Amino acid sequence: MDHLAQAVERDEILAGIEAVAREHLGRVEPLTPELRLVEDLELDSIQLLTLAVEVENRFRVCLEPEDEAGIATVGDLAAAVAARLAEDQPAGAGSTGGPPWRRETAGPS
Amino acid sequence: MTATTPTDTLLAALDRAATQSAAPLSAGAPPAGDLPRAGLRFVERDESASFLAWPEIRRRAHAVAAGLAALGVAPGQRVGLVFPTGPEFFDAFFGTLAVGAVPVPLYPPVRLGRLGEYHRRTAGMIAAAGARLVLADARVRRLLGETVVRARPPLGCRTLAGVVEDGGPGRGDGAAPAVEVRPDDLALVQFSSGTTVDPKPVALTHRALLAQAEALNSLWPGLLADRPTGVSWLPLYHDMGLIGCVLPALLLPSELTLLGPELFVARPALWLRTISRYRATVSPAPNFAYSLAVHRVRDEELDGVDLSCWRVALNGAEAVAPAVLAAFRDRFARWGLPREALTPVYGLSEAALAVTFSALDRPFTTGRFDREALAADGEARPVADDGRDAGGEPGGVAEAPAVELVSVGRPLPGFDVAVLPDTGDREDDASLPPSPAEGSPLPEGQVGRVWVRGPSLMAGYLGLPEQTARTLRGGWLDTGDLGFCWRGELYLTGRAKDVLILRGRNHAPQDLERAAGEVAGARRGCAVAVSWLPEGAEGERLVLFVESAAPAPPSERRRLAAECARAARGATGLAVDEVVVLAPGTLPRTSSGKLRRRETLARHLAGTLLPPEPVNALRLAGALTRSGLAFARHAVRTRRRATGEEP
Repeated sequence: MDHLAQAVERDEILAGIEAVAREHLGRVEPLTPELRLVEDLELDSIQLLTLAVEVENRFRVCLEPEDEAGIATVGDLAAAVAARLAEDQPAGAGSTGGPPWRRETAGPS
Repeated sequence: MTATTPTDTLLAALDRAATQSAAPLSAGAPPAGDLPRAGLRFVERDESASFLAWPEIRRRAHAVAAGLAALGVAPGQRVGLVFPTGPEFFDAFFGTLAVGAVPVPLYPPVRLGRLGEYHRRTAGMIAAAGARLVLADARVRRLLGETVVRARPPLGCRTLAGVVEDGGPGRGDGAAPAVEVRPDDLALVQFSSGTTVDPKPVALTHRALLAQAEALNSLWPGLLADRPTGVSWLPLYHDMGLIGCVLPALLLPSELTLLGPELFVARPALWLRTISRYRATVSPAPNFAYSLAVHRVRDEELDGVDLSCWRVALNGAEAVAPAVLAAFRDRFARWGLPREALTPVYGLSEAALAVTFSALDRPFTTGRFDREALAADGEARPVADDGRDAGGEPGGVAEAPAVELVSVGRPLPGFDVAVLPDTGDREDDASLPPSPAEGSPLPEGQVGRVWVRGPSLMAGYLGLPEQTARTLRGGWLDTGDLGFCWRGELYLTGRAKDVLILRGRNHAPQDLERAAGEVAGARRGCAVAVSWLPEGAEGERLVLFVESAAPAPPSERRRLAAECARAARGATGLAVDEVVVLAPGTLPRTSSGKLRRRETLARHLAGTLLPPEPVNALRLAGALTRSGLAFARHAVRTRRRATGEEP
């Protein structure tokens, strides 16, 4: 991926994180990469958990504990998502059909 | 209902569950006999699910047990478990039990949280439990390096795959190692307060755990036609999740559907959807979860949901707010939630779990009591309309002469509750309050210290004989909670013990206090954290009192308050509702110089924590301070003494 494509993708991811924060945490302010999750956004543990799970739902990625260990800012989170997305690309993961949680499954198996 | 045959250890219970449930369906085979379908179902975030029948759970556990035996894990040794909710937790849990060892469930790292604090606490718990080995999920294990280095469990930290491999070829054949486990052997260690400062490992025997599960199961027959079907998102390292949901399902045996706590927190509607989908009759949660569901679940997420099956919605593990009960009942009535479903309960990890239950077949009960009599004299004087179904009436209560309290019901079969005078004070370390073995219980309606007795009390705090002796006295457990009995039911008014109870989990105040005490401009070591349920509020309020290093102008106090809140949140993930910055020397202390948390709150609520002018960093101040009844009572006495009204 060239630099331009990477930059475009980074912006999209940032916008996606912003949408999650708006929808699930009620945060209306624009998010910039340097904002720290705890110190600046003042997220508590439940909000951090919500952010992590909903970002995963939105981008259909699974953040590993060691990804998360290094995440302090919005930019760190975006970078971790980008890394996981890049990993998943070759497998041809599309992103249509809405978030996975909406998929209905049969009742008791 | 099948007749209950005596089952005296969890292993015997697993064996019995395996023989009394239908085996997993193999291709083409007809269901065998008319055994019930019983086991554990695991729901994923896309709401797909997998099911493990009890026979399968036992088979998997035996494979792990063989590996553990080959590793050298011996009966009685503790094994730490760090797993998310999923089949592997149970492989490890029952595998550990099957080798005669004692599982110690620990919580996995908080998502996006600070790992430094996590490592420190978890290492403290592993050490306090004396764990010989830590078993972890493969993803979590990669992060546990530092914890393991700090705690040094002799057999290290391993994944289940590693353990089963170590069992060697031919060992993973499902043959359990032959161990003799007796009812009075330890079966579980859980923590009453998850911190390094004061990690208290609560040791529970097979006998105690089974007694608790049996007491819970004895409640259903009058209410439910069939054996209960449960749904739980509660963490498995929490007594309400493991002891309250899994063990009763094991003992019956019955079916329990589990989803991870992170799925509930991120998307509370999943809890209600799961209850509806699997027609669950029983599902418990702490107060905060009901509040979260009221505020975060959107109507459109409940398309097709029918909650009429949900007969018992237990509410426990933290203070129960009448406003939340009423809001939840009213909000979800549209989806068929029965009016009688919400059931406030009370318990504590030292009693394995539950001690009292309110009646299952009627709406929750609240009482209205004279505020002044309760606060000043510790006397519960009912005000007209008492004992009726709660209206909730959030808001507008501050000026009313009555305070509304929720009944947490009557003791479970085999349990006793006694309220004794709350004399003596643990903060002074000098005197102990009288136990029911030494003093006479207070009459109905008098506020005092709550003691309980029953078949599921802990054996003690592991490795802490002194603390055990202070807490377990003459067969009674000092709960450290304050309350009164009225019409045979228990009402709680506050806590005598130094513990913060937030979102169903206990926290020691020391972690927040240390973080705040290190902020520049704060007086080192002079911070106090307290939490309590203010009247009319939806949950406990967390307030941090901090002394400034030097007398400070308002702007400096505001800065200090904001910095302290940030530091506390960074260290613990907890959102502080208010930081009160005080002049140096304001916080009350014992004669030996220890900070007195309860006294701090009492004076704060009574307005006698001087100098007044609290800096309110975040929001909400005066209106909420009319509560914390038991604390206020103490402060009124103090004030009366100070003004000569009382000797």
